[in-house]
Amino acid sequence: MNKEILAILPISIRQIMQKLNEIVQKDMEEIRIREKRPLEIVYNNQHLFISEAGKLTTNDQEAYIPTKEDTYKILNLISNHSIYRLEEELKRGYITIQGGHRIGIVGKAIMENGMVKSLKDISSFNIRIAKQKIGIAKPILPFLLVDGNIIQNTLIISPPMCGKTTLLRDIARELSRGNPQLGKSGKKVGIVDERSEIAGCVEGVPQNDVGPRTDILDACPKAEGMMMMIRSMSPDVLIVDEIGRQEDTLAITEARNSGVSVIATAHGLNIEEVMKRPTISSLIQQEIFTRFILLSRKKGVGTIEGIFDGQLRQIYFKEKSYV
Amino acid sequence: MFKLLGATLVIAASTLLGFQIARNYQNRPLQLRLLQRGLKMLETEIVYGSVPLYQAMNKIGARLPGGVGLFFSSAGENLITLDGASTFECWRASIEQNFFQTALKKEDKDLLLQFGHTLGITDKEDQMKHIQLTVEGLATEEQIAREEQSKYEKLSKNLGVLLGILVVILMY
Repeated sequence: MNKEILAILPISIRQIMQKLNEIVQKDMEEIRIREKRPLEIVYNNQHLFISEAGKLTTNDQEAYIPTKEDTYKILNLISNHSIYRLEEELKRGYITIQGGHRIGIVGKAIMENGMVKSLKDISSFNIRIAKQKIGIAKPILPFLLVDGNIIQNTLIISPPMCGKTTLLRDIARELSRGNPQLGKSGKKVGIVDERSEIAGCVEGVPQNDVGPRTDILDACPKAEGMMMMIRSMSPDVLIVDEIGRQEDTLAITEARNSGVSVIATAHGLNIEEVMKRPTISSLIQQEIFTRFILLSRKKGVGTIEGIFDGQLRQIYFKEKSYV
Repeated sequence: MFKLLGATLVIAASTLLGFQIARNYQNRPLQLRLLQRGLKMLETEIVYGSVPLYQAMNKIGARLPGGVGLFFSSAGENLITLDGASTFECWRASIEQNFFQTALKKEDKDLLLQFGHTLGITDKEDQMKHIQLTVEGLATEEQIAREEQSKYEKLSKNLGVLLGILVVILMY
């Protein structure tokens, strides 16, 4: 199992995890630790409890029950004994750790002037294990480039947990690196990583490989971040996750006006559903987006349902998971 | 001849003892002052520097001399090496381990251990409050220690010598 993940688990849970079958250890997607409730993992799309002997079970009576001590220690280990450094993270409800893994946290909210100021009595953790899939964007890339060089404004549409951020990250990496063998130089890529999910920065340094020519604006609101990026780093292409708000639309229009391409993602089952959202549909109607990639889970995480052009004509069809 | 030698030894020993006690009276207020300085440095590192606790501890440990410096530097080391131990455990272990090297008393230790319970595990505002509270407590102890120093430092030096002489006279 990943050493970055082991490092943040208290010894009691660490030992249980190490007793698990190696394949399970490797392919685990999430670890869910809830104080005084059964220890759970998500593996292969199934939710399973773990017993103290490291056995997977669906019976919650057999499961190991994390104690208050366990949750307290996790928090200690995540923060390096310095919880005072996590103010921003506690306000947002998640922490990115070494290796780009994300830990969602909930507890009791402390309010100030009607806003969440911080969390205390933290009792639940959701450890989401980051998995980079290097090279998955390669077959898709030719469809995103016109004349082999101009990056099309692209929207990746997918329901949750279908791998859209993973795909987005790899597109960023491939564009940034270029392909010297084919004589294609890399592009300047700017990532506005509002939720620290694409690059997984820890103290400003990306934990995921996002390419050599990539600048990351970490934890910055998308709309404002896109404008900042355009002004400060003159990128060839901007990468953003989960657009949908009114401001995002304005920022994307602005990016197009300054000649910067945008590759973004949006939640949705299909293009028709996304079209119902007024902010995104206006972008589609103005033909600002000229490529759409549709993802699903039909043949496993990251199934590409199709790639469409600006007139929503299908230009690529092969129902196959990129994994 | 032997008698004379024995007498000298007795006087020397008790004088030394007296000086040692006197030195404790002299050192305690100084060390309490150092501790306050260390905690104020810690406050700066935490609140303004947002530095990880182990780094702050190491930095302060390197800048403060003697046993008080060791409190911080070995706590910093514990934070990294004691895998899975709570912050309080790391702090407590360091205090226990280095306490004999200082002139501090049990009440000072209690203050420090009390402080350890909140060390690192709350937000900045809270950390600041607890540090200030502990600094205040240490300042009060320092005041008391200074009064004791002025009362007993000279006294224990003299008493050491005199006690030695008394024993010698009694023996003769």
